[in-house]
Amino acid sequence: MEHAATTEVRPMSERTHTESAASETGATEPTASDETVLEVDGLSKYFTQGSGFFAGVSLDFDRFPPIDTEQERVKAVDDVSFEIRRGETLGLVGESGCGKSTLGRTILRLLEPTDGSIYFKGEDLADIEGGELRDKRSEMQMIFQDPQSSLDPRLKIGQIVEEPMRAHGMLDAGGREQRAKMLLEKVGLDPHHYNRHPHAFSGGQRQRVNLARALSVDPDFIVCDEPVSALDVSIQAQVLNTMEQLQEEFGLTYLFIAHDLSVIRHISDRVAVMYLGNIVELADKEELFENPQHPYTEALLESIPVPDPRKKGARGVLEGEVPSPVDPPSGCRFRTRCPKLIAPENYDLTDEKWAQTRSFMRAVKRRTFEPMPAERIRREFFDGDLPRGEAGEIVAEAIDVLPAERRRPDETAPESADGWTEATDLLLESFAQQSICARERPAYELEAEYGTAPHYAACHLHR
Amino acid sequence: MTDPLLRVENLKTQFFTDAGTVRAVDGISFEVREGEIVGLVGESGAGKSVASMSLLRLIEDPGEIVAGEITYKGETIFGLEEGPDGELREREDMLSNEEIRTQIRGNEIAVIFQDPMESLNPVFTIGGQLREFIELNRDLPKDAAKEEAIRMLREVGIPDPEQRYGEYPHQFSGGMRQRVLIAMALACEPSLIIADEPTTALDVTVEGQILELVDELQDKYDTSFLWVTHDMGVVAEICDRVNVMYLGEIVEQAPVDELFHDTKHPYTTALLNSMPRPDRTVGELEPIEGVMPEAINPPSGCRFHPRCPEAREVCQRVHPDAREVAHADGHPHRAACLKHDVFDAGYDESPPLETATQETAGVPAGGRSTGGPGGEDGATDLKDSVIEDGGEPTDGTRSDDRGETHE
Ligand code: SF4
Ligand code: SF4
Repeated sequence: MEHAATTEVRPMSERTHTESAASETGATEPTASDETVLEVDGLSKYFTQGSGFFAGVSLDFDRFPPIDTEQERVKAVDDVSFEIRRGETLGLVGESGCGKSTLGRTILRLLEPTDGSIYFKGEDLADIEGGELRDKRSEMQMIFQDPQSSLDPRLKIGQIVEEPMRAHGMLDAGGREQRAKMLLEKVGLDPHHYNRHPHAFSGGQRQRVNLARALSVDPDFIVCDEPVSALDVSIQAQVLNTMEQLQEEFGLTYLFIAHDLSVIRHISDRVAVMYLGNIVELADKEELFENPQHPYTEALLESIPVPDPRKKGARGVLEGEVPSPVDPPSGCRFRTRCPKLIAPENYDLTDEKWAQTRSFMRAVKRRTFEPMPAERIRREFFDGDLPRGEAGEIVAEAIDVLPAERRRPDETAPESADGWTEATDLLLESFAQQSICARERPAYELEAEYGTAPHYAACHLHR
Repeated sequence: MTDPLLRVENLKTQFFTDAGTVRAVDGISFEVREGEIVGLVGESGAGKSVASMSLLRLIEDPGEIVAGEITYKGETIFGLEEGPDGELREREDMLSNEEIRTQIRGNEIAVIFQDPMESLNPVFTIGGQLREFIELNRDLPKDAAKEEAIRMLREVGIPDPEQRYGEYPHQFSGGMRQRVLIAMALACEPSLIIADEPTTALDVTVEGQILELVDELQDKYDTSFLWVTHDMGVVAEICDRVNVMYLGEIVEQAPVDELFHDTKHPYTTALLNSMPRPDRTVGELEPIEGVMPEAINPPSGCRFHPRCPEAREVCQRVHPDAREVAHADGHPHRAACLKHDVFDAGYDESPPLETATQETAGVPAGGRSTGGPGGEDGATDLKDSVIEDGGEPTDGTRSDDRGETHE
């Protein structure tokens, strides 16, 4: 429907990216410098509705299967690009359903990408196959949120840590045992725990076992998916500190996925914020937290409860809920909730009148008020004064079709329900969809106030 | 000051398992006053959920409230007395299960749990469940109850409530379901709502919406809240006063500003120092050493001593109860830590302990020899504040005639 107007603008990469099948992506040579460990370019992962989340997990799955365009597709990750430098921690933060976990898994090819490329140390992962891919995979590891379920309770700690080494044919039995014990010590466990079973361990200790297992094959890059969110704060701090020490000692690069902004602020060098399958902002940590330039990031930051009662300023409350990733909003995906949605240019609206029109439009769409006479609507939403000109006429028309009186609770009254829908459609078509926020996909590179790294913000306020 | 709405004194709730007695809640006292939001904060295993569930006697077998007193608006929710044979038995004035169910639960005290799916029936519509709840509890005819249900849904910010009235719980997002539960909790205009980690499973922007809603509703209805959480951020944001729990005990109790800015218990301090901050970049986190031990065999003396950076030898021997160590805002600031003068336990002269080596260190028996809290606090306090290593407290004895307190 409204996707036609979308312009494709890509953040990190200058390369033109063809919407091609995997076999063609090798044509674009990666320009990665020595320092770039991972580069993700135009990466998308769609799920076919109904086939379930795990439909794509199988590793032998045909790559880029033909997609039946008639089916509903969940655009879990949609055209995402970024890079990660050696030794750095890139924090990836977002709320549930934003696609951050899917992105992590797709990068490791635990899920097949629908589109786009992943370059690991300059090599396109799509170009390598079978055994070679398995070797590459030993250089890229993952640790998951739930340390309980990711450790096989029947195995001993030593076996668990050695398992990836066995799978990759690393060392002989004695060498593996030695290395496992060394790693147990490195992650802060007693090497004597080698013969214990995981059930004897606390949540924090199990996450350490996971770390040791991930490290066993000597990876360069680790995707950490909510690694400390199941832990109590005091234990969380222990594990975070250990992860930082290990990073330094083993020269690791982390993609650290979390929903907790405090953890992200602590652990990351740079931070990417994800919303509904897109990266909406990416900047140095300090820059992102102190000088956020995307209204969604701002809303996130204002929502976190700060552990200091003297700082309970205004709580930023975001309206509404995340739309469905099956049919995401055109242009800027945040526009249906954005408190700063830009006024359409074709009307002559003052800031004040636009703010009122915007809240009225959303209140009608979400039906948050009870039917009331036109006069009261004008008073409550517009201070008694409708916007001037055409905009005002449209608003007046919308008010007109709204039911003016509350229906009795047992009455089904189809006409009044139609009135809401009609008013909603009229307002959305006349205002929301005319905004630049709906017509073009935003992507802007800004100058950073903190640090020197580029500050990417997907918001037309920076146009 | 007026009488508190809810008063809890020396509450003990234990679980009798094969492995032994778990002293999940071990002698806590606190109050909730009218219009207050009181926090009950702690890490997992601290006993905060058991404590909050005890307040409505929702503890199930093998758990049992074994001691203490709970009063709500002057009514006894739980209370024991000594029988003729020196046995503990329920007091005459204690409300029956029936009375709790019909007079207190819902009407006077409502509960909101972390997972709304547990409280909603998946096979009935949201509106139907809310309407029935209102019909039953407020004695309204069906039509009026439906209208009220829709009004409540709108009140808690459910968009398009007429439409969504007919939808099923699975059609609602987590945040919307939590709003429904809040609507249900408010429907009978209770004076107190016990909220057990109600925003923990929610995304941060949704949590923000719910906290905002609670603020608004609280202003409007003047409902009191007991807010159970592990999140110090949420505590700072909404609570008026806070109780910090560690291993079954309240170790610090203070108005919220004092708790954060004039912290009196080393555990609270350690907890705050171990947290990464959203509002500033912290160089290095200071984790708390070790893990919280199990409530089945808590450490002797101060239960925090194996992990406490300020622990001294005396802390292994003397068990501190929560005492008033300051006064702020018309409220006592209590802390259960021997370093404060009121304990007069010889803390200053006592040699420091090395926290790292402590967990296995043998504790010398007969800890009563040095100092010990005596003096002004009198003998009653002495009895409560010194528990020998491993010794069962005498007042934790289980009485046999109390089986019927459970449903
Ligand atoms: S592009 Fe428009 S809708 Fe999107 S964040 Fe910016 S102002 Fe808001
Ligand atoms: S009593 Fe001793 S061990 Fe306990 S909190 Fe105070 S200083 Fe620490």
